[in-house]
Amino acid sequence: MKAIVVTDQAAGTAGMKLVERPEPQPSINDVVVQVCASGFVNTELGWPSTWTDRLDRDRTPSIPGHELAGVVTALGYGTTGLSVGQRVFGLTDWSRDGTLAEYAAVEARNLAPLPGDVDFTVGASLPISGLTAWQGLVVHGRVRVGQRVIAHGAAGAVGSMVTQLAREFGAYVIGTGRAADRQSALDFGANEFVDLDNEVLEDVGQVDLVFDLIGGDIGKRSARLVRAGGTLVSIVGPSEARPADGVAIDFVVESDRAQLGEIVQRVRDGRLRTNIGTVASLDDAVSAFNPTERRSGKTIIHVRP
Amino acid sequence: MKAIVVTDQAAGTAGMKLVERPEPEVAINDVVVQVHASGFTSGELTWPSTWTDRLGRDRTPVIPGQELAGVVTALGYGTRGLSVGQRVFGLTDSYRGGTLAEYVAIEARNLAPLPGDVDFTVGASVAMPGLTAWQGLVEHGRLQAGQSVLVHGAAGAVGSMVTQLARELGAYVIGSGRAADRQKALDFGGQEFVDLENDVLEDVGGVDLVFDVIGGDIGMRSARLIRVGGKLVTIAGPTEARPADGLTIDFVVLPDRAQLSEIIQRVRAGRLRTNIGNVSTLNEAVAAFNPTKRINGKTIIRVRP
Repeated sequence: MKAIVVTDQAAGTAGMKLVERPEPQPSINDVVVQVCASGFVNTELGWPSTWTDRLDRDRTPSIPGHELAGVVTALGYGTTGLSVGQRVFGLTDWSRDGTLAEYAAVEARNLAPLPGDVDFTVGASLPISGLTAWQGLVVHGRVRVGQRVIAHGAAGAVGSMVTQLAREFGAYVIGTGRAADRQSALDFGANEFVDLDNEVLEDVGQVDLVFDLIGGDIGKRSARLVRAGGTLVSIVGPSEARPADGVAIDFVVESDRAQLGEIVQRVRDGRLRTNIGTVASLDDAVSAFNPTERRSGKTIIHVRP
Repeated sequence: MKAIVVTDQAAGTAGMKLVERPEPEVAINDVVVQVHASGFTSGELTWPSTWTDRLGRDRTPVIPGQELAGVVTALGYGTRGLSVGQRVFGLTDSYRGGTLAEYVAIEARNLAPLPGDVDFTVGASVAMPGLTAWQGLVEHGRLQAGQSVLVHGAAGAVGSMVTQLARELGAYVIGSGRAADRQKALDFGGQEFVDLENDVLEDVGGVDLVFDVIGGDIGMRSARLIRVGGKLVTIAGPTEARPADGLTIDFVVLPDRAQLSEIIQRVRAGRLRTNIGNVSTLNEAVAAFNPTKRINGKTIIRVRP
């Protein structure tokens, strides 16, 4: 089958190559999915899980990309709950070969049914941004009606999900980003927007929850804005940024069938919009992931026309 | 750390050796558990998942054992939901195993909290049989009050769980086994017992659900006893045995935190009893798993006294 592989961590996305790879075999409680559309996040290539397995052994050449939407084509030994031919979407294991390929083997429990009225391209854009936003706000952040939330990168893939969900849960959302992102963030439902290059973050005052995708100096300054009892939720790793009288939680997104169901229901009824910027084919994937200019929105690879 | 290893599938349990191994690597969303008690299912050494990873690559030397109870000693990158020092129990991925050792790395989502009033030995002994019984009866079998169930191996680790759970769900339970198992099966709540060597299975009449752990000819004959709309649920592998007008579902047990919690709550309340045949130490484990006479019930290794 055709697949994108990486072999050298130092090369980053520039090292991606389109090659022929054997089709994956399903293991116990796996399914094989014929990938119709897939997503990829740049940060993957910086994680050990792209290069080694859970036993810390080299696993290159590695197929990157861990979001998919497609059709089940085979069940592993003992697999129940999904049927061959069923439309599915979800997040695959970070330590296994991924979704920038024609087929992927994935544990059935990592997938949820994809409703017939949701496009594969849309389905593939949901797992990482939707699950990250859901887990950060609901599971770890415990966002409440009336709280003030800073959503960094509010026009981006994760940030726009955080913004929309936080508004739905009754929070007041302050989005951040660059000047060019302002309108987009407001369109996603941010009540206010802070241009981090030209405005002063501290002017927003105190907040209850910060959803941090940036880290570094902005992360530390954001932590100082968190009220007593509030939470800093981060996906950029353990940080020294700690609210003086609150909690800092860093996490790595995990697949969850029930949460995927919640997210796709909201897409169907219009409460969540995706933020797809570029759609490219597998043949054009390498250049799509090595853009010459900054792209807004998510890049989705449409594997099957 | 001390661990039991196997290196040769053909040698079976006789090939087990107590050796020194490095402590395990902990990956994204894993925890490390200091093992207090672990269980081993004798069939494990015949499963391909014991000898290879999900890519089909050799993973010897292998530490067997998929069931455990212990204390969390470290969190993997981004792991949330469990804390260091927390008592836990659960089931590993069948391609990782590793519980016949002092420490094991395991995905956090495969574990549930172990209540303070439940002993580690009990926790380790109920994980796999409990999940198997729950998934077979509730998830796949959809057992209803008033239905009848034929439970093979009713005095064994899985069968005694199935018997107790089926009774609690309001079903009528017919257990099967050898003559020597009769009293034990009835003590676990079976309302009738069929001695497969001396009684005629078909005398049982029609049943709504068969929970099969044996397969083969008994599986085929059992399928013919199933009433219209009933089910054959089996962990003995894919089978041609099919009820004339019902469903066959074969499955492999999956770790599930919510189900583990359901099971352990019933253990605390006295509604589910364990079926422990023998408790041994890591030093005596090899002998314990190569018994000279048949042991009824589970063998648990108490890794920490």
